[in-house]
Amino acid sequence: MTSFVHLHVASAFSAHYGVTRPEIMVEAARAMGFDALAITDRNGLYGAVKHIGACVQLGLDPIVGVELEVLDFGKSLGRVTLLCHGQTKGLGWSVLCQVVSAAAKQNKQAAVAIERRTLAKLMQQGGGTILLGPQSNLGDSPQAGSSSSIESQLSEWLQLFKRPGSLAIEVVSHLTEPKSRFSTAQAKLFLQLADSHKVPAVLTNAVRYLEPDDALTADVLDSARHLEPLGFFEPQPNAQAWLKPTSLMQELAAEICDTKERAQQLLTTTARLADRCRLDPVSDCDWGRPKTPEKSILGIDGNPFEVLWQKAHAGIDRYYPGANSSLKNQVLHRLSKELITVNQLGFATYFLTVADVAQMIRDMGIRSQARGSGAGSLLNYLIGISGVDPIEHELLFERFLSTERSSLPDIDIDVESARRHDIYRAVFKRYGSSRVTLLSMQSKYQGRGAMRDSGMAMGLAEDQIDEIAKSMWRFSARSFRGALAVKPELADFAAAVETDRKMNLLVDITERLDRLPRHISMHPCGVILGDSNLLNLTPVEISGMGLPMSQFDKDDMDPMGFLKLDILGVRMQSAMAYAVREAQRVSGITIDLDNVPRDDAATFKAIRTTNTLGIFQIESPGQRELTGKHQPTEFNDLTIQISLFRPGPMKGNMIAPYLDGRHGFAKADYIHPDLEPILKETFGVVIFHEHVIRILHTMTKCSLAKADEMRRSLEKPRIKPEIEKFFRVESAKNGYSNEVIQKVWNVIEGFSSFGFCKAHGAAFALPTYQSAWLKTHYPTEFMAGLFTHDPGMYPKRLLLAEARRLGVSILPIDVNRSSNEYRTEKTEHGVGVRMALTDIQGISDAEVERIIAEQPFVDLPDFYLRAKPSRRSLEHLATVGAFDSLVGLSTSADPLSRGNILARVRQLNAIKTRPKSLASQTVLDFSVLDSLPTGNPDLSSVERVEAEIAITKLDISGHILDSFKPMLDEMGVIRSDELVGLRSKTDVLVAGVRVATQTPPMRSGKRVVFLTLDDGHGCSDATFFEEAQQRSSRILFNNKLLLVSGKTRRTGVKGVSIMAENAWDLRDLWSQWVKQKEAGVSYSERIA
Amino acid sequence: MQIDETVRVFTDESGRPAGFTWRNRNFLVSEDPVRWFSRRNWWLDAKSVQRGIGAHLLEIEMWRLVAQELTAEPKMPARNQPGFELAHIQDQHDSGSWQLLRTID
Repeated sequence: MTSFVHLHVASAFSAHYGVTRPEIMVEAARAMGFDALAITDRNGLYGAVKHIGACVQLGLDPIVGVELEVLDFGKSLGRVTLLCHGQTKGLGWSVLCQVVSAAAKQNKQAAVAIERRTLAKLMQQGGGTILLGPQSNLGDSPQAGSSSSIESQLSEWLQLFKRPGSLAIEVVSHLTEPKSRFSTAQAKLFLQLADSHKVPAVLTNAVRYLEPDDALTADVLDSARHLEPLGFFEPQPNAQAWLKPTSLMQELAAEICDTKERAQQLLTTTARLADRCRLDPVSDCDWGRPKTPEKSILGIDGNPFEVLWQKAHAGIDRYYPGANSSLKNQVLHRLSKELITVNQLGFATYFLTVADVAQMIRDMGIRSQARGSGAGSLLNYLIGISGVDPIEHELLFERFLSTERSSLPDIDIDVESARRHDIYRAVFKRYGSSRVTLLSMQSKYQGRGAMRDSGMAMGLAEDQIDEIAKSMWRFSARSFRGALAVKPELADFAAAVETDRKMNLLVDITERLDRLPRHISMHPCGVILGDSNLLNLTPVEISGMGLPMSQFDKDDMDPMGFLKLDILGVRMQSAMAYAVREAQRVSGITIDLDNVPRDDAATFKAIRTTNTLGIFQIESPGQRELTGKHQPTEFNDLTIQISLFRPGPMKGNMIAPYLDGRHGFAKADYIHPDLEPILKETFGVVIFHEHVIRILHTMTKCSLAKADEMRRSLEKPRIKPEIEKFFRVESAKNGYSNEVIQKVWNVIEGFSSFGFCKAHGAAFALPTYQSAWLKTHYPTEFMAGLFTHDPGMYPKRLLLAEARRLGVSILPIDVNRSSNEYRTEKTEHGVGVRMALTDIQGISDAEVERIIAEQPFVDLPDFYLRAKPSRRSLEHLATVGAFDSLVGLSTSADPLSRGNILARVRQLNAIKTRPKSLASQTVLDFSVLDSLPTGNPDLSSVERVEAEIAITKLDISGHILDSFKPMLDEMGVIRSDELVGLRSKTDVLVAGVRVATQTPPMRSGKRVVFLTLDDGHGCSDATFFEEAQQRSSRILFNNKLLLVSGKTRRTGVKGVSIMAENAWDLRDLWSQWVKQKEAGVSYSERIA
Repeated sequence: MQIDETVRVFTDESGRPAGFTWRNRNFLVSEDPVRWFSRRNWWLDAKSVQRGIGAHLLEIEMWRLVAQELTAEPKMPARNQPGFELAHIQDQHDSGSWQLLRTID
């Protein structure tokens, strides 16, 4: 007896239904002796490529289908399974893709389903078989008595699907209670029905998980799908829907069929359909063959390689004007080498396509910048894809592309985030919607999400779930129980788990959900470009932005041979573009940001102060600390610094030796003079992938391409010994001593997983430098760009404090001048930034639009009538001074102004219905009321800031900490800009607003919490080790205004951080202080 | 009629119930028993559900039997023999216990 084939199997990619990932299912299938396995996910082919890949790898024949709801003029006919036929030169796969695309939701609210007549029409092409099983309308009446209605339902199907082999009856028994769905009795009925209508019957187990134990997880997924707690919906009947072995499937066949012969026949028919559905990935799915748009679409005549060759050579004069002959030779030699590789791999059209897209983006006037290993290619530089000169920065093409690998290269383009969707639409327009789709991604259950859905399943209250979620900080759901024992902030919850059974279950089911796919969404940046056959190879659905999106994710691209272009929206690019536009608009200054000199001394001087807030890549607390120690002086330093502050180099302990070398504390050890040119830039420390490639190349004389292959293989324990042998033997042949070989090997071995690609670093360093340059030379415009596009990790109010520190003049919200952006404006002292209307809490988009459309206003009643603000917005605007200039009161110099405006606003707000216009109004005489009331007390400056914070979350007129000044002064709290002048290990108190909390991975594995506070004079960084975390655990992750005690620790020339000992809530301290004041006791005595 | 009492069950070599003792009365299964799998709401009473704990938390093996009481004096088989519904409750370790859930007239 041959092995059984499961034809109906949902994987975890059946969202909130299936439990097992396809790779795991396939591996188990092989262990059980199956030679083929189907994947038939609900509603889509989300897991199909992973399934095929796993089958190819393990030597099983893949079978692919989909389980869909079918409608008859809107009325549900239940769910059926469509299997595509294999060995059909792609017909079956194409029909499957078309059916899935047709069933995909047309909008957010719609369900995934297909009309039966649409399905029938698509199936007329052949290429597939529909299984009508217990979940179809045939299964609606499981009792034998009502067989007549089943007969008529089956007849309807048979009339529509006349092509032989396009329908089969799916016989399933989950051994449920007799007479219910999925019972053996129902299976018997289905078998009789099939026999009497001469429709083939096949046996499946309608699998939704690998093992019976997974049924518990399936219960929780059902809860997430129903959005109801367990017990509030009809649960699955039992735990039988698992991937049963051949022997049990044979037993089921015997139980269902009356005779042995019939049972045998059922299994044979099943095997025959399985054979028909075995896919040949290459001929059926065009597996692995690179696909690019047709030449005609790219506007190319003739040989694409020749076109590419000409295009690249034409770039030489443009990008290397006036190069001397030696440089020119270097360029020509390297370009030839790259072009030969590209030609050998047959990727010319790929490069032309990417260059075409890059040109299109430039033509749209949008800032763009290539990132990633693609920056290592001279070809990319010459055809306008990348903006970094790989020769100047010593970047290697082989790290990006080589004949040793055949996978499609990966090129990422960063663009202005605000224009990203415009670019997508333009790509669809240019290449046609039959050749382009967006890329999707599957979000997975992680810590908090898994706990939230588990909590919902257990019927916990929303606020209880919120409370637990708040203390879940950076760990995967899988290690939830482990985290309970070690994380101080989880202590309360851990205690509850000890005593509360429900909480204990919550931990278990949260762990079960970990890493299961949760829902599909649009990939943030991926676009697939193919030829006109694309939609026969991938199913698509409508993305959130309304454009079609493939159901495949980024890992599916290489196996399917799809050209994926990552067009990433980078807010910093938008912020910089905004700054450049504002300089042009307001001051008439033209800035060519891509061509500013990259060695500007003022820019580097500004970076070295460590006031790097708002600068791309180096604004985080850790990067600021590193900036203080590193003190960069040139562009390559930025590349190095960005690369060092990555998980790899940090774990590989590369930072300290590099800094020691740089500052002359340690003499650089190059091991051998031949390695000095390679490692000079980093004082002997191996940081970059390019370093390892060059070392292997130099010592073994192998090609750079081969050297990169070896570097990649260092992480594979199976292959590493081979590489070591090759390295030792070849290096010895080239005359290196055993001692040198041993030393170098130790370095390379220790390096393996820790390094960083220099091309990535250099590509990042460009916007880093550009943003630093703008901040240095055009701080007002740059800060306006940051406010408008909010690119960084910090809250806007910190950027505001930074702007004030830079001396940028902050102009308050003004109903005649503010808009929905942060515009720059000419002032008496130069330019300033006008705060935006959108900062007013609760103001609607419509209100903002009306105000902008109706500007300017002549007086308050005019604004009231034409801008039609809500009562609340009107009062908010008045409170923050948005009418101050409108009513002719120049500044806050008039002590009574704001109070009187507020009084006037309240008068207006008291009017029951807003008059249509001044002329038509009869209730109130506006001209009489036109003069402001007088004599109302004004807001104090502290009250103003508090009102601003309450209404805009921004302290526009002054820093929030100023209000606490008397207490802070009395306590001797240090200002953040005074820290740099203190000795190491000085006891200090610092205060401020929390701006960042980070728990980066540490070499020791122990958790360290970095807290950054802003006090209006800059930022102070405090480090909490375990004891300090214990002491302050209650407020460490939650409170906004904090006071921290600790000792200073010098980290470099300009670097000081605080080893924290404890932390307090500043507001608590304040209220106690005020009480103590009233009682006449000095507060600092208490805290000491 | 709802019963919910523990009974002793005798099984044949394939694990199917052949007879049982209930309230000191012996019953002999007289027709092919029907097995199915039912479920219970584990979230109401389970203490933990960690991965790999097993489906017994969720699933219950059920048997529907037709059985005749064995008496000292053989009786004529009744025309309507009583039906019984038994649950075979298993846990991770032992072979489990049997509950007579109800009788069906």
